[in-house]
Amino acid sequence: MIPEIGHVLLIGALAVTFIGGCLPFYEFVSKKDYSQSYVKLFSILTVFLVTGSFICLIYSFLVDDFSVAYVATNSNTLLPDYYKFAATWGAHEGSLVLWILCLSLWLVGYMFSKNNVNDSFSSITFAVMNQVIFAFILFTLFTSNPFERLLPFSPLEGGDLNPSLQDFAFTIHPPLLYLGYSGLALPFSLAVAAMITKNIDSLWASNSRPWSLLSCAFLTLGIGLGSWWAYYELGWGGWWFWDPVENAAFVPWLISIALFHSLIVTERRGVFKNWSLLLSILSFGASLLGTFLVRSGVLTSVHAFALDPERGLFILGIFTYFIFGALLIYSLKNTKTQTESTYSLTSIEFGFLLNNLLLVVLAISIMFGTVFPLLYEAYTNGDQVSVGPPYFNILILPFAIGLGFLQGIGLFLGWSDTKDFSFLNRLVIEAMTVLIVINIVLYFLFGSFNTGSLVACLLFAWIVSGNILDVVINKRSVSKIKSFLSFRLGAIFAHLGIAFLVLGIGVVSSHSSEKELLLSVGESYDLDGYVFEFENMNVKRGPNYIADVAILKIRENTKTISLSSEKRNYLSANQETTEAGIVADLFKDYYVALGENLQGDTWSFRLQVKPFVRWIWFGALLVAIGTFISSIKLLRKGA
Amino acid sequence: MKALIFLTILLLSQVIAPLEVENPEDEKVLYPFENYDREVRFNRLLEDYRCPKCQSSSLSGSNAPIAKDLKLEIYRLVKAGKEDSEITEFLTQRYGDFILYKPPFQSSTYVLWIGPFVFLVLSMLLVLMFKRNQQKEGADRNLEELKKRLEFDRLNK
Amino acid sequence: MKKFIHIAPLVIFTFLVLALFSFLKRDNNQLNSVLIDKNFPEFNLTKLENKNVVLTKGDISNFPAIVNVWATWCITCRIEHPFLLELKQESKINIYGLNYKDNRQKALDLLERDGNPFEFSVYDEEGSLAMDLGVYGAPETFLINSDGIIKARHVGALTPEVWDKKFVIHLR
Repeated sequence: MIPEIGHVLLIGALAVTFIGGCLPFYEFVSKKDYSQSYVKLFSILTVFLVTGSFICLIYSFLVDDFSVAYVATNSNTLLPDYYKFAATWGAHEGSLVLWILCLSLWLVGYMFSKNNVNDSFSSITFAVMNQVIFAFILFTLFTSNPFERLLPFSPLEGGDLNPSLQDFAFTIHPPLLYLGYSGLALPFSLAVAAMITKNIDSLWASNSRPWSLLSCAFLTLGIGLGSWWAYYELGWGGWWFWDPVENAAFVPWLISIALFHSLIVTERRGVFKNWSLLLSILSFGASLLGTFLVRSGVLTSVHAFALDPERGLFILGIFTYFIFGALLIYSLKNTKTQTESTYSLTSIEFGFLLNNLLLVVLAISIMFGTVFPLLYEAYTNGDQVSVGPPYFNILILPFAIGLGFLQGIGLFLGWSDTKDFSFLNRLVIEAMTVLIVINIVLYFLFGSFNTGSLVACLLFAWIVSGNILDVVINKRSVSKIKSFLSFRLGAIFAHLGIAFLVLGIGVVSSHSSEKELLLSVGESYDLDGYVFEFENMNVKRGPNYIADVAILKIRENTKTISLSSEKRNYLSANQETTEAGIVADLFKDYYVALGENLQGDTWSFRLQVKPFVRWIWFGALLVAIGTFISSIKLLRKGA
Repeated sequence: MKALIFLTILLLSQVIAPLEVENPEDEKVLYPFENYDREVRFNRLLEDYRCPKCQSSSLSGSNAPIAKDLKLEIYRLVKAGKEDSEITEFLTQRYGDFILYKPPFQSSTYVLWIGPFVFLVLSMLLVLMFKRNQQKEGADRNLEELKKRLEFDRLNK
Repeated sequence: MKKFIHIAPLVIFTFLVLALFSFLKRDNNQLNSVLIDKNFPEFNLTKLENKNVVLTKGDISNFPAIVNVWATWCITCRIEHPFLLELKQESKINIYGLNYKDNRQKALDLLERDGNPFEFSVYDEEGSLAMDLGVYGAPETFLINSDGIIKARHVGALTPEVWDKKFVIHLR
């Protein structure tokens, strides 16, 4: 019964969004009155219907209703309740309902924000958002219905949730990520509305900016969590693989950053209108493209979803309709955008322009590299090639340096022109000092210099100097510093976040220690001054698995730390996972992964010491906090 | 100036400092190397090659049987003093370019390796050209404006 | 100039969509073998059936032939086994086995129990010959034509469909 209700509610939402997607256009064309009362009503109705449908699906999981095919495939009676709840979005069909729910939340959020002005502009925005939701519901109902039943012979037991997904980070990673992906639909809708109602101006830019920031914030959290989860779940200490699914999230993230920076300029000076429009379209396009790549079976990945060309075709259709449509409107619109304002090559406008350029070229290059194997195979008639981390790491370096450089000097450039360049000397000296301090710290902590981390440390020093250090040193009065901080709090957090992220990446890439070895119970090994002792071996029974647990002690100078690593066998799916033992202090992670039992009580281990790795996610968190702060500030102001 | 001197000293110290570090001989280690640099090279190589069986994983990050076999083989080759290019050759002769996470630099991949750079430079040129055009237009407009005003003043004298 | 900038994104996007559409039509889930159009590699391993007999490349000589990579731990191999027996019966093509990283006794027991479609099997305990062939799992099957050149490689169970579509064409 409940699954049927869920199904019907979704169909209801389909109808409501269909009307919502068409009516404002009809009004606009026939120049009718723009009654705002119904758009709010429709939005609330949509969100209720979708939430209701979602709840029905969750309920089916919680009561082990295996007559629902999706539940039967992805759940199991032994699965703990909180994982049953999360299994709702554990595979393709259910994750789409989550997508739709997120879109609905954004819709309602926009309708109720002070952002919302009583005119055709916001009505058309509402309409486009509704069309997006409609498209996704259509896709779900036609090709990926989670409410399909296995009747009359429903199984008594389900498959299981993939063991590596049975994890806390996993329960919150998709919702956050999807909020980010779907959130980009809103700046997209605003841009389309601006073009159609001919309101491409500062007001549109100021409306769009908080939503771009907010989407970026969620994407940051989603990507950060994904990286964190991969780190401790996959068992070998990696945290980023340039995997197609990761790139599918990274590319829209980069473009959304270009977007909200570009919107600043459009809002303040009325220029970069074309950039801002195109970036609005491009960011949502990247989001849809990512969705296409991971769900169509076109690319294989550790993470790929529903490997199904038919569904791929449908998503491609959605992608084409919205992006082609928007670009068509863009090409038809009045080309006379009078740019009154002129700016020099040393102005902050130009700085933002370079910023846009670097981010967009990087994003497109990453996307190109991701699909290159497919292009190559088609072009060479069968030869296969791979494009992986070595390529992407080389690719991103010059861009990171360029963007980092701009991040440091951004604060000091002037609108239209910059006259005073004395800041450059100061920055160089401050950055050098910070760099030396860091190197001294690294030497004391890890006993070596290493050119590998030099560039990262330099970028960190430069960004920190430019964003906070110089200001604190130079502004004499506390009140001036305070007002500076409050005005730019979001940006400072976000830029410092990037600095810590870069530093973490640089240090962990060049100062890590690692060894694969065999140990018997009682034996120990000295890895670069850290002594790992294999104390004991236990067996543990979990709710749906049996595990071999290795207990180890690590001695560093006078400190002693305990940790354990497990090899779990999940009974239902007969799958094995490795749970790494991780213990962290402020400056490093100890990372131990249990390998195989060679004979008797001898096991293989992979021991690692990873300096500064946590600073990567700390940096990501700061970025998210910064973007949240900025967007909430703007929303409260009623931009 | 002072800063530059600091920086130079820093860089020099890094170039001079690292010596050939000796690894303690240890039977426990799965892939023992006497030469530390070789060990570092070995670890890096494992990240540069793809596991042929896995969906998307380097040799370093895979537990697949073939990944283990390849790891052992690469270990033997590095220990025997083979260069990176020789090891790459060995692997691509058997598994094709697919096994390289760093695509080879050849005519069919120029667009991948040089493309982004060319794209960046071209778009920068485009932007600069566009700006110059715009500035010229702006200057022309100003000139027109000025002419009109002078004309207006002259007529209304 | 301005008009160009406005049309360009649309044009680029159209090409992108066409490319993506073509990707959907792709049908290949395997790693293509780079041993195609090459000779069978050199090797020096014992015969499964007799550990005192050493086999080399010269012993794989009765062309056309197929070389099947199999093992007792490989479940899919059990599925294709009947077809291999059938193939031996009907087409009279030579089938050589490559016993991959296996236990000699277990392998012999299996052939005793389930039937032996192989002329002989090469006992590749370390997987060295397999590695030289670019093998990455079991089962895999290589087709060698009458000139002794490897012409096809299939990853996964050998089925009548695969035989017809991928292998037969090289047997002219």
